[in-house]
Amino acid sequence: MDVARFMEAVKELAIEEKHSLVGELLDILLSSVNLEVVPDDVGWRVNQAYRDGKLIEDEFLRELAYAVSIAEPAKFRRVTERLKGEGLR
Amino acid sequence: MTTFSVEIVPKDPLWKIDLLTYIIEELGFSGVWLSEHPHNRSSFITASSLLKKTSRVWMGLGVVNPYTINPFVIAQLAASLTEVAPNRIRIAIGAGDKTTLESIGIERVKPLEKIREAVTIIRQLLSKKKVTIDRVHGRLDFNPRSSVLIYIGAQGPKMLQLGGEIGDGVLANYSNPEDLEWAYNEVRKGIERTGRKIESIDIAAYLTVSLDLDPEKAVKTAIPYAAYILCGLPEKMMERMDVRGEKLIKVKEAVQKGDWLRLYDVMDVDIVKKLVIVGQPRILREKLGEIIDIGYSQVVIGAPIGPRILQTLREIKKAIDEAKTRLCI
Repeated sequence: MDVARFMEAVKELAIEEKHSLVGELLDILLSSVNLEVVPDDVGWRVNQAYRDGKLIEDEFLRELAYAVSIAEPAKFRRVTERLKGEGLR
Repeated sequence: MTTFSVEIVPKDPLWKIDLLTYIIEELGFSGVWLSEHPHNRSSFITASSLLKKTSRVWMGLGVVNPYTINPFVIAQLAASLTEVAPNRIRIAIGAGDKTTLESIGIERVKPLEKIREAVTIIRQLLSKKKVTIDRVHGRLDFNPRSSVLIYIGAQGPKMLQLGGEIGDGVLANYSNPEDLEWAYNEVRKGIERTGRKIESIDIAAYLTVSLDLDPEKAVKTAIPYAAYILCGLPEKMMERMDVRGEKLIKVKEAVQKGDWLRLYDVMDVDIVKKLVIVGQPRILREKLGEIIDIGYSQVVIGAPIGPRILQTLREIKKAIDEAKTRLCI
């Protein structure tokens, strides 16, 4: 559910903002100490998408958002709320 | 010339370690040290996977402990890795910390002798020679595809000297420039005994680093690492830092129990600052010059690095590039 709201909010972003958001989410994910909760197949898809320069694409951004939402739920909620707030302005 | 590498602790899933290694290579670091600890993933098995998906960075396994892995097997593992990635394998051998070894039922007896013997066995086996030392005899039945540099991981004066005497390199596990200068001079004593030139071995400052724009977050991240280092310090170092008595006992107890929350209560920030390069990224900028001036030929950016790993790695790379320009290295 959170990931769906996040993807909805992302639609409003310009491409540069989306790049910056991907960087922020990836940093949260790679800095997390809870990565054992992220399914390995999701982690590997995020890994490959970064290498291929495809993390910005919706399909992979959704995977990244999902991984962050389960490893760092509070931080993910804050990012989503911020995006929604920015969208309302 | 000074080279720069990054330590990765293989306690996280392989997909993360793999991605981090890729980014470290992308940022231009020379190598990755994969730490070896019985509680974490095996550094050798992890390296085997990482080496297949990188093309340039060398990989150091260490500090590998001959009390937990038999030296013959260490040689076998290192030689096997040379087939995966020739000329990109290094290993560091060290006696580890007493607390961890005791927790898995191993007594740390005569560490200097143990390391000297282990390095002799490993070096002979990697050179395709037959080993005949005490109860150990035999050879590898396959050819290593390249040489493997053997480092000594050291903290105490005698181990640092031994590193200078027998190592292709030494990992001096300190972060404070004052301690690093002392450690460098101990390594030099060992080198002088052998008549080798100091330039012939790679002396690495194995720093523990925790950086963030928010210094409090950096300190919080550093505390478990500082406590772990503190427990393994030689007595003289503890005296220099004025860490004794009840305070030290409380830290040791918390480390042994893995009670990280308790550590936040019992560790002094001042001690953390003596053991870890901690604070805003500018602190590393200031210290890098001092460390390179001492003579270190390698600087290892050791874990935890910081609470925001990617941002911090990029800041560190900038600091290194600035230092290189400033010092013309």
